[in-house]
Amino acid sequence: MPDFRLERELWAQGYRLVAGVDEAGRGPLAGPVVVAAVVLPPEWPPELRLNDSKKLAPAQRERLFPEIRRRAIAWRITAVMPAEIDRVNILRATLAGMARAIASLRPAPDCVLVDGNTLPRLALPARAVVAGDARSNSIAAASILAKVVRDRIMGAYARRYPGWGFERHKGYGTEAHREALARLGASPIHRRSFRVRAPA
Amino acid sequence: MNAKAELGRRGEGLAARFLERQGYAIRARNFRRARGEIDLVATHDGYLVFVEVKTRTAGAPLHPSLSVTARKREKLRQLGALYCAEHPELALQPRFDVVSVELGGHTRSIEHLINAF
Repeated sequence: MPDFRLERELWAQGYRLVAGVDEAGRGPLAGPVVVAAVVLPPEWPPELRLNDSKKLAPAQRERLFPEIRRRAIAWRITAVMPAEIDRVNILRATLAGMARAIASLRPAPDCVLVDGNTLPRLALPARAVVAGDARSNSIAAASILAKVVRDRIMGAYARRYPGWGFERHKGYGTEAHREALARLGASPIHRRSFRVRAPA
Repeated sequence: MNAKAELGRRGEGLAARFLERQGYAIRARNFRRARGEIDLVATHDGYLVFVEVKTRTAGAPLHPSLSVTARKREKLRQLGALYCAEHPELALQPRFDVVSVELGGHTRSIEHLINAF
């Protein structure tokens, strides 16, 4: 379970506003990668337990989503669309999204915790935390915002581009999705830089 | 060969076949130098493609193409530069791809991430 241990270390060093940053949708074959940055207050109600978005049921994420936005000192969500992902590559697109989300936080944070093993280019002290969404409350909160918004975006795309099953797999490369791709070809939101082998 | 190396070998073979079907010409498998190795080197459409193959059994938690660390990327870049230096006749644009091979009981999926980093 995530907690405030990493944040507390930073608060003890004099940092006040520590932002947690995470992304949803780096792996899927279609749709945007969504990045969220969140600065949480040092007190968080224990009944609103935060966790890695992947370990929460959709209903739990939906319940936490407005609470995080209401209680956060600052939050920001950005989406990087497939065209940009294909142009610069998924890693750089994700890092660019993180840099944008962090830069647009108000009030501006003075330190950043980023999920993963790579940091975006920042003018702030920052730390990359592998499996950060399971360790830090701020990163976990960011993972929830990113996941909920991405799922909503994919829900909207499912209505605009029916047939690929975006409402179910959200763009991830499931067997059903690969079958649909082999049958229908790519939709306008498929990432051209992600190719798959059709199911046998 | 241990089980992990065996799995990796199988994955590389499947990845090479997949790329060939997409029109890639495989130039080298396991390009090995002191610093490490590149799983596959291929040419396609004006690109010299260095391919990292990630093989896993179904259900592993992290998307394999995302588990290439900064250190590994740097190593691949150095190896790629070395390959280019050894093959000055290939005036092609270098690119780094990741092919993820997931082997399940009866399913097998291959994902190709073009220009991964």
